[in-house]
Amino acid sequence: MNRIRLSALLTISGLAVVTVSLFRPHVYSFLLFLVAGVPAIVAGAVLFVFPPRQRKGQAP
Amino acid sequence: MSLPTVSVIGLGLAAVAVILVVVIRAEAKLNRSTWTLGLLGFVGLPGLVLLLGFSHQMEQAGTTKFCLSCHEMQPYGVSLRIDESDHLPAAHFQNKRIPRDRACYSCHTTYTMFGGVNDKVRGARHVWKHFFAGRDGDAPLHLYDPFLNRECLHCHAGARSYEESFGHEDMLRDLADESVSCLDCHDTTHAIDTIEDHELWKPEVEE
Repeated sequence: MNRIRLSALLTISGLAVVTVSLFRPHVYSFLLFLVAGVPAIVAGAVLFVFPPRQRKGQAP
Repeated sequence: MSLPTVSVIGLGLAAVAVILVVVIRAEAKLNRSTWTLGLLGFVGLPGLVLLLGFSHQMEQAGTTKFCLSCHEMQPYGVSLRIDESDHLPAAHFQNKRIPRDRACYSCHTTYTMFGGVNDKVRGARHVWKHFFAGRDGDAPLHLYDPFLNRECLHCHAGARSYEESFGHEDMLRDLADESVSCLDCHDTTHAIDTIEDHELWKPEVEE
């Protein structure tokens, strides 16, 4: 899977998790937001903005 | 559905749409305009979703439902329904002296500049202790600090029912400077230990 697709997958999953976590005031919803939603969105953004360097001879 | 939830859904859908466009365009070539669009879809819009979501989570963290979602707190929720008027939290809850959907937070937040933030940090520590420090869920809970009159006076100060009522008139200054505690007289609070001995109030319409 290329970088953009992986980034998209992470961001869309994060957005879905954040949205679901807002529906019910519950400590597990809060933890879901904090432990799954935020890291997924941040990871997606970081992967898009700062792509990992490719080694010489490695396919893009 | 609340406005922040609708906003989060709207922004999230917009982000997904932009992301899909970026993915399709990047299949051909990731040029500058696609990258700029990607910044909107991967950083800008999700960033807004996170900010709004966090704000909404903080708002929800002050609700009675949220507090009672921890099993340690559930007896305290039951104590709000004790059918006796001298039980302070129950009387406040049942007579709507505090909003029922924010009952715990109304009395137990600290009414100072960073009181709300402090409460959230303490709450996060409770969650950490529950999951990772092996706290005994049945061990008795304690307040961090003695309950200050400031929290009561946040609502009661200036109220005629408080200032002119029998017993309060002569000690308003002492109550204001904390030299006498409200709880010295109003000393029946959650009564967790004896909760099973009391009748519980059953409202006709559950909120």
